[in-house]
Amino acid sequence: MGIEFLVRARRVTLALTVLAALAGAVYGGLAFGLAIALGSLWSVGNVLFLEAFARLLVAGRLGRTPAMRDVAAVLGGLPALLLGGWALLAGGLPLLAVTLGFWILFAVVVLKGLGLALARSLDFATGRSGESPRAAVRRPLPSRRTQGLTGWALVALLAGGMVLWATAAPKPQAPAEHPAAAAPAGEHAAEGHAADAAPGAAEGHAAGGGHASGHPEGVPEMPTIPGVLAKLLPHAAWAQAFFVWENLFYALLAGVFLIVAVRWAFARPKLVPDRPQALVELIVEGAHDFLTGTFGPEMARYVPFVGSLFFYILTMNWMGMVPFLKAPTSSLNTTAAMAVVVFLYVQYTAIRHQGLFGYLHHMAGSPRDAIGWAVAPVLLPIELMGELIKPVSLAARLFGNIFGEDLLIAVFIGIGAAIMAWQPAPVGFPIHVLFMFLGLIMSAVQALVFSLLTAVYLYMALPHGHDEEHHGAGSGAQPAHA
Amino acid sequence: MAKVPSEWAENWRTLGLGLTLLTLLVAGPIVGYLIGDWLDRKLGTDWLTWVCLLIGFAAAGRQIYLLARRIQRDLDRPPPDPKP
Repeated sequence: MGIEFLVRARRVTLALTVLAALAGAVYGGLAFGLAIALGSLWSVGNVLFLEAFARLLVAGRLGRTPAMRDVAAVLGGLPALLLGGWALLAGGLPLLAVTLGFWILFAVVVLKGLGLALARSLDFATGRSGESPRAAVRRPLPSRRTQGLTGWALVALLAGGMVLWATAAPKPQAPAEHPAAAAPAGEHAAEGHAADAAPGAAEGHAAGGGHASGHPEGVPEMPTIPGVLAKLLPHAAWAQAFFVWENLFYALLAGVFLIVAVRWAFARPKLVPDRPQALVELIVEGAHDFLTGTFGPEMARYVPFVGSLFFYILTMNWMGMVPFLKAPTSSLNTTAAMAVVVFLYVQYTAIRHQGLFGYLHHMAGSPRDAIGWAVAPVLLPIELMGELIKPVSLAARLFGNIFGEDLLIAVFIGIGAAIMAWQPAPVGFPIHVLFMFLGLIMSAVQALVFSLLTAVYLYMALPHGHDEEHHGAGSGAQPAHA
Repeated sequence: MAKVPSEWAENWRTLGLGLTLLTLLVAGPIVGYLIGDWLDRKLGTDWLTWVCLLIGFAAAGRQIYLLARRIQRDLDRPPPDPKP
């Protein structure tokens, strides 16, 4: 499959365009039919441009002289396509018809691709071909450098998108009021100076950003970098948006920190490891031994997932102990997102091991006789609810514990500031230190509990060696140790 | 590779399973109630909360039963043959 695939797709598209334009002109009017035809031709023009561009690249790589036709198509094609696109949008033609025409080529490519895949599957299934369709799409992974560059490009894209969104977003109502309305907790407690300059001072977000933004109303929070920026720049839309999205920012920061730390430790892997490499190897080996020793050797496959989850949550939890940072896990949005990921992965694992029919059979209560099938409609909602319980319990437990822990520390910082409010220096009594130590331990315990529950849910999704419930239930069932 | 002591692993396993049982038992009715309440508000009914609450209890019970059966089967599984 290569350029010839595109050529064939283009021919089919042109034939379909004629039919669609005629049908459009008959049923929707002349302008409608013309718009379909022009939209489709514009999309075909894009493909022609890409083909010429690809031929130029190939010629350059092989050291051949490029064809003048391709050079002319690339140089003249881009402005022509831009002008054509502008004319289509500004020409007053029905936009729905233009869009319909534009999608004809995509529909043809997708349908042709599906047809080819089905034909190959059929050939393999009937023995006409020895090449498995799965092998045709299985490619070796790109180099680590390419993977790393792709990962960083994605992170940069996400960050750039966030910045663009933040600068383009309309001014959020609630956080805009926040700097004026928010008052340090110490001010309420005493004369108002104690908590102002202390980096760990508790701060009340009285003008709640709402639960959706992760800033519950009237709950004291530690000051954070986005919070301080929002207070210093009350009229900057980007600062207010940054404050609203601070949980996402800190979650991203935790991920980037972990990636950079591990990449740094393994920058030059040695046979006799140095300290950072030895530490990472110890951690990975410990996670592997823990999961396989506790739940069996079949869990070795899930060590990367569960281990990453543990260290990611631990990093996020501990971020709440650092001044001007925040634990993103104290927002239900973050914990719910992780719980959804776990839920989807557990379902994928169950389908992968039991097969689709085995999974559906299990969801119907694994009926084996007429009575079993009769009660299947009753058991189905119970099984569905049973699966829904898992992510909700994961998200609510982690959010509740970390949120409560951060709240406790913030409240005690406020009390410490109030105790020292009799003297003019901006310091507070460090009454919260004890709770910070407790918080360090509790954060680790909560990360462990989340990971442990994830491991148990995965363990429940795996078939057992002599589990009758999964035996032969699904046609596509695979052995657990595959 | 370092071997995990079996007693140590057994303790962690018990802790994980115990936590799961507790979590499922508590979360089942809560999730059922929340879904039922949401459905009642959406559909304007007043009985779906109770039905979903019951389903939540039943779902928690069924998940615990499945987990307990799984544990029992794991315990009954003969140990792997030692390598010669």
